[in-house]
Amino acid sequence: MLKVSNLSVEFGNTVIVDNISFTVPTGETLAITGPSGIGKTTLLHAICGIIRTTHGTVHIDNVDITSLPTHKRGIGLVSQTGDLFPTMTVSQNIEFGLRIAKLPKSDRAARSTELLEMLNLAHLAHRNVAELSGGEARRIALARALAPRPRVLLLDEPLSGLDQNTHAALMSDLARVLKQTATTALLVTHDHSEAELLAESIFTFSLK
Amino acid sequence: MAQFMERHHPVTRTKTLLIAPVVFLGVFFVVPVANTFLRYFRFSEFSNVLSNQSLRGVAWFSLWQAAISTLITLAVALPATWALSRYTFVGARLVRGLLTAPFVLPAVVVAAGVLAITDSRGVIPILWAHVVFNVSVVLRIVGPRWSMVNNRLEHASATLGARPSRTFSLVVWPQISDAVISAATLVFIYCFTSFGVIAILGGVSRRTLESEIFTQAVRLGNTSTATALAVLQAIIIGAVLFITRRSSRPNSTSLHVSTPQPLRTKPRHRITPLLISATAVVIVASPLLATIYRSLVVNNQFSFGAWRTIFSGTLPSLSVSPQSVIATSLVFAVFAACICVPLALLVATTSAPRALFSIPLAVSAATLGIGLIVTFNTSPFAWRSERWFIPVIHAVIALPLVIRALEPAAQAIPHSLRNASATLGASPFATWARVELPLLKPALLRATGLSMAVSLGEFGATSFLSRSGSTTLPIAIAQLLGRPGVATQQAGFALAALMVLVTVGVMSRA
Repeated sequence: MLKVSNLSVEFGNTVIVDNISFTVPTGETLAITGPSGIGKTTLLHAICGIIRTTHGTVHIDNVDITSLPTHKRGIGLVSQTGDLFPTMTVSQNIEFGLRIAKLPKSDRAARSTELLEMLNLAHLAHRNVAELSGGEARRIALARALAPRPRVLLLDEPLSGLDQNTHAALMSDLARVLKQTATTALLVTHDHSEAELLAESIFTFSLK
Repeated sequence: MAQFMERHHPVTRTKTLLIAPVVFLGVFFVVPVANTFLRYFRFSEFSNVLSNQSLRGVAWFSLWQAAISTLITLAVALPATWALSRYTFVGARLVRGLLTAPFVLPAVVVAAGVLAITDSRGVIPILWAHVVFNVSVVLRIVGPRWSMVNNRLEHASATLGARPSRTFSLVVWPQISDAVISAATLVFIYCFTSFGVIAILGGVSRRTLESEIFTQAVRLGNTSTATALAVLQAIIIGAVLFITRRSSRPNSTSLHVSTPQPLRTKPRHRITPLLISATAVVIVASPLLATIYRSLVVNNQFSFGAWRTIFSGTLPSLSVSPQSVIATSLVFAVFAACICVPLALLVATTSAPRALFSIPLAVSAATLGIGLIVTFNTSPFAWRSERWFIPVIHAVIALPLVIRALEPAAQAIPHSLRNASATLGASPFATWARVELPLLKPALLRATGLSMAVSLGEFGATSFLSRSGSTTLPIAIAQLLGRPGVATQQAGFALAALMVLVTVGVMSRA
């Protein structure tokens, strides 16, 4: 369970996120919607520790992780751009978090294969990431974030900028994978229909 | 917002990593330079220097030769820069390579090349060597800016009735002027602090402040006079930088231009840029080829004698064998790169204040040289005669350039990749080692090549430290070319030709 309490982010005198609280029950997805530039991405970055919070706390399964550095929070992130590591192949990208966790090679390979098969991308395992299409890159980014079995998965507009067909296919894959893996997820989107399809509940971010 | 996020970024590398480069520069650069001024600077000596007619003459020569060298360099380099930035023609890439190669060549090698052609010393050879050395500076600084000038603006000016000269002065010049002035300032400072070129081509009568600092400090033992000259030199450099600071400040509006779009013209229009480029290549590359020619031809007879000597023989005019000199230079270059590149990497991949690490660029090699011999000459820091000390100082001199070589690649790594790595459990160090280093590999190879080239060619500070067991290639070349005898001179040209080939080889692979 992810619990965000009274979270605020300020840069200098500018308040970006103001006193936000919500809870995401274990295995469920909460969608956060709202117009562009309102601080949705900043909220996600504050939750996973990329930027500092000014006030408030973040708990996962009743453990306060607010002061932990990003790499110790166990929170996965899929960004708008995928951010695949360009010097690694598809499978090396997926296995990255498992290598960091020092899992044996056989276990890493098995987990990578499992995720690639779940997303019907097994044929891409040894492909250079520069050769992937936009939709393939987003799927691989999703697989990479899921590989270390994060306690919470943050999805920052994972379907934005895709053509209509790819968008529809990826949305259905995402819904299936989130259900299949029973991942606790927080989805940021400006598309209300996307939020309704993927999430159990919706939180609307608005200007104060 | 991006700026704020940068500042609050917890995965930005901790500044504790900067302790190593800061301590390194502090010990081997700041302490010796500060020590020199604190111990040896006297106002009375400074006033003596100003009233000494001979030394005033040295300062005056340093100034006017630097000014004329800069003007001739601009006269050769700007048309070539125009041709290469605005036109595409067969061989343009080769021309660019030939014109930019001397940037990493040792000054003594360039000087040796000019000597190989002119067979005489004096003002004209000095000016020519400075032009060879500095055309690449103008090309590197002005070229990117000129190629970014939107050629549609020139077309618009022409359709409004402006002649090409008016179009240039009213439309093009305002967009490139800051880059031209930046380049001219840098060229002036390089020529003003010239040492290697003067050591070979100056003869007995032509001295710059830089070479006079060496003479006073090392040959005559007048450290106070040398320090006063270093202060005078620093004041003049400071004044030049102050005068040009406004003009060389990038004009923000001029940066709002299209991506580089070399003008594609009809073949008959390519003759002018081709001719201009060819002229520049003849001026710049001929001295380099001349070193090779002079190393192979004696009294109109072809001979490999000099090459055999440098690889297997001995020379009475050198206290060590040429092979030992070559080996020493290569070992020093590798050692210097091993120190310099990791330190530069630490600076380039952290949010370090860049100006701090650029300071060595503003201090001349001779000024550093005096600091080294007066600071590191007593126990427990009597390091000035140690062999390891020379490559360490080479690393100090190469550090600002290598940081600049690595920085663009390091800055180009998106923060989002670091964020992605952190959310996958990687610590900042693991992210640096597994994500950033592989991305920096090509830039690291280039930086290593640059560091080795700087070490191979360093002459100024090395002159203060070199002993018979630690003679480097530039020092040996200067010694050989400064002594009489056909065999001695030819061996000097062979070593210079070897440096041309090694430096071009190292840089083309990097």
